[in-house]
Amino acid sequence: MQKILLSIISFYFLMLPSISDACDINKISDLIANNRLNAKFEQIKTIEVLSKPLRSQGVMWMSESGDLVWQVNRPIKSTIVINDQGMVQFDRHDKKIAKQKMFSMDEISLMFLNIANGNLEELEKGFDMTWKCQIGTWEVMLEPKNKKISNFLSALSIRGDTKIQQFSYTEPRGDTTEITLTHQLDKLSELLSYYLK
Amino acid sequence: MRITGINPRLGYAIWGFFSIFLVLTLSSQISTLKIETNILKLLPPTETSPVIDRAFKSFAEKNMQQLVFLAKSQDKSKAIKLANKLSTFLGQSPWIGQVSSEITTQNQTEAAKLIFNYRYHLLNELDQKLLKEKQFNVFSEDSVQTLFSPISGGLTSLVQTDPFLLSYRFSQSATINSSFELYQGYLTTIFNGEYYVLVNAKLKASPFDPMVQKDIILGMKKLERNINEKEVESLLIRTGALFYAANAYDTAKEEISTIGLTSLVLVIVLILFSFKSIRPLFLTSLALVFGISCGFTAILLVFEEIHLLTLVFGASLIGVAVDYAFHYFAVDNSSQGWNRLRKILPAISLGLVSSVVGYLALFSTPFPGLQQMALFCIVGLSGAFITVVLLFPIVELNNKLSVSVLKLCNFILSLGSIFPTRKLWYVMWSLPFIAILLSYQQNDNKDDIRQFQNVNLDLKEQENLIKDILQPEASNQFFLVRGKEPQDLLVNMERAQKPLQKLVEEGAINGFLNISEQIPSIQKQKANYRLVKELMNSEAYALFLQLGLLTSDDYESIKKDFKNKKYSYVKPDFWFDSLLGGAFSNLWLGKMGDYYSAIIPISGINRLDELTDISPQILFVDKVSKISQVFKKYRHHSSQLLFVAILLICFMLSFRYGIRKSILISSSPIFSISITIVVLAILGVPLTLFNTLALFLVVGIGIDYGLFFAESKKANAGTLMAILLSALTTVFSFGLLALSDTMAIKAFGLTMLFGIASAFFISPFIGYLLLEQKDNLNAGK
Repeated sequence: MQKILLSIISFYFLMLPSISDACDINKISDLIANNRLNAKFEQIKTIEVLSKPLRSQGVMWMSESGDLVWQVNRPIKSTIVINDQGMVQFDRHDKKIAKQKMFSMDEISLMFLNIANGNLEELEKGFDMTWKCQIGTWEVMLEPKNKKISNFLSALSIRGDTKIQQFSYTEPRGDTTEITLTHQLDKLSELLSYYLK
Repeated sequence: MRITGINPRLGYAIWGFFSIFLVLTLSSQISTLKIETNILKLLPPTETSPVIDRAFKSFAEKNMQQLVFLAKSQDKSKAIKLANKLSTFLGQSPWIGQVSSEITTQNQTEAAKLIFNYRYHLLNELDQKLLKEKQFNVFSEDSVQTLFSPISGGLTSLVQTDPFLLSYRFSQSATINSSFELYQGYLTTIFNGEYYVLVNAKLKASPFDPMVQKDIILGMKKLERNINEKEVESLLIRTGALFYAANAYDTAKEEISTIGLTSLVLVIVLILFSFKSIRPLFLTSLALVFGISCGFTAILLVFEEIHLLTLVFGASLIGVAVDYAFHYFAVDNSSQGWNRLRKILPAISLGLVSSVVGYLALFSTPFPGLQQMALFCIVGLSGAFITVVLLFPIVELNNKLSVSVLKLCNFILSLGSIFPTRKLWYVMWSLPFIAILLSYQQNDNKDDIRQFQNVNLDLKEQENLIKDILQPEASNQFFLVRGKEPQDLLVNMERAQKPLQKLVEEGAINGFLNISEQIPSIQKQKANYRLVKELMNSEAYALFLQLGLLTSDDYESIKKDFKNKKYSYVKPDFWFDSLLGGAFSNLWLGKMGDYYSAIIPISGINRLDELTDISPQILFVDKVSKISQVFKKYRHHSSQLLFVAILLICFMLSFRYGIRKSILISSSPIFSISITIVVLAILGVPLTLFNTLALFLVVGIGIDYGLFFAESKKANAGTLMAILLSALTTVFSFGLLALSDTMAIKAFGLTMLFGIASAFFISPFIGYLLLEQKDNLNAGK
């Protein structure tokens, strides 16, 4: 029994370098970048003051030109398009909404864009980043470095395998948001490229 | 004129008494001396209503306290870093009252809380319209859409107290400038591919105080040096009255020292060369110092402060004040003391009178700055005259006139007999007609006040860039709204909304900023409350219940809160004291006389002629046009006055010289001003009020030249030498003003340069005709 145990421990130590190699943040970044988002999502927002969580569904698509189209379909349709130039919002009638002035809106939208295109290096500028891997899966955990980000976000985590599967974040008030993705083969481009015009 | 003379000792005693009085007055007043650089202080009241004038001054003063900066960089974070450094520097300055660059979370929370507390009474125009049309579902659907959006941020916390997000909806309309967005708490924008971060500062001291200017500008230069060493591509763009005033102050200071000093050096060299003695130089300097001190004292006694432009013109007084001394020295040495003075006294007395007539025309204008200059010159010239009359005769002179200068003068005099002078004189009468024709052909923009200001190109470029990016409202063309009470004022401002919107729709203006949209009258707040009541009682809230955002109990408690806040109105004093309202407090002028006043600034005026008073309480104030109209009016007025002045002088002279000679004497300035107008027109220089005012001096000095010939018994090279020296010194002083960077002074200088030069060249011909006239009379006898 002791021999078996020792051999398992030895195997574990022998295996360490290879696990560490596989859990390279650059590789995670490459995995996300190479598998452009084309998914359905379900968002669950748990708000302290509300007894029931807010559930919504929609689709997410990353265009070849680097625009992230994020469309909520239920309970009410709304669409946002995020790129490195900023963010554009459309209402339920697909009418462009005048740019809203909300504190940290740009920071939040840029953060989502960096997650979606795997630009973890850029995220590291504003967050302390740790990551871990288990066989076939990985998780990246981020904590804001500066007060400006920590004003609206206290923790962020991204989980995935070859693609992002889920990301969640917690706000300082304790509200949490969990977004679970279901990747699909049928292209959303035809549906969502309208918003890039 | 018979001169009996006065006791030299008595003259000396009188002059000495004056000097002591001057020294005592100057030493007691000099400590309180304030040099004014504010261009507005030069301007006359332009409004018939003193309330409008006061309102404009109050608004202008508030605007002048503002400093606007844009930190520019290709890198957003560098632009923010630069804005941060600038804010730190400004925040540490004792002259800055308030710096707003970073909008902290605390600032935003404070502003949001204020709106939240009054949310049932504050509605933007679109929401008022939606509620009037009973489109209640739009409110609930918008809320749900926002709350479920991934970027809903802190709005979810509002759901149980403000489910329709009324406070959020209103806050979106209460933003200042749509081209800017909040990034890391800073207002940033992209313009032509570069990032700009806005930093606003408000001075708590006068922007015209040289000490304040020096401190801020030196500090900024230090900051810029550090930036340029570290981050080459980053740049600070700025605008504000302080920077223009500092530039005007530096330019004027430089001009006083360069133009004044050059003028002084040239005059000294000229005196030493022409009279070959130190005594004329000493006596001339004494006459100048005494004259300038007299002028300075008069200003200090009559006005509270001296304007910088008065000092610039004052530096040029040297040129005219030396005339009397030159004529005294140009008399041959066989006559000394009173005998010497007697020969020139009638001419210099008439010269002084004609110059005073010229300066009185300046004094008659309603421009406080020009009045100062006129008073300075009248008193200064009188001081120089008194010195020549009272002090010079007691000093024995042994100066010799420069032979080469005399030869030159003799040659110039001989030209009168060589040329067909009389025929030429008749031909020259065509000049005034050509001048009138040319002056009427010029465009009408020449009276625009903005062209008279000293505009530093670098500052102007920076201001234009800031204007392009910020699209600010005009500060001198706006609507002034009045009301007996603050609430009446707000009601009147609300009444202005529709006509102003119509002007925007019709394209007459691009936009306006009506603060009553943010702080409505109580009357409007009551109406808003009634509209919200309908929303509260509608079925729109059912969506919140359906999605689990609210329970029935939650909604009942919201309705209770709504009922409790029925009378909680937001009032102007409270609003403008807040961080949110404070940003617009410069537009709320408060009580002025019997009325409360506020400004509605407008941007992008496309058709000025369509902007008029909306009602007796909503007045359109167009300071630019008003001032330009004043300039135009006084340009016309002064041109007519110029004609009257020449007629008056001609009439006055006819008593001593007869009609023919007085016409001959007066023709000299008529030809001179005509030549000046023609030359200015050929050079493309517009004929403005400042040129016209300079023409008065050309008339005064031109008459002087004729007078000295009229008083001569023969064609005297000494007389022409005094005229030559006088003309040269005037050109050295006034003519050098043509080099000034300030358009008003430049226009004055150019006119004087051509006016005096032509008066000098005409004078020997007029002198020839005057002497010919005299000879004919003698022959007739």
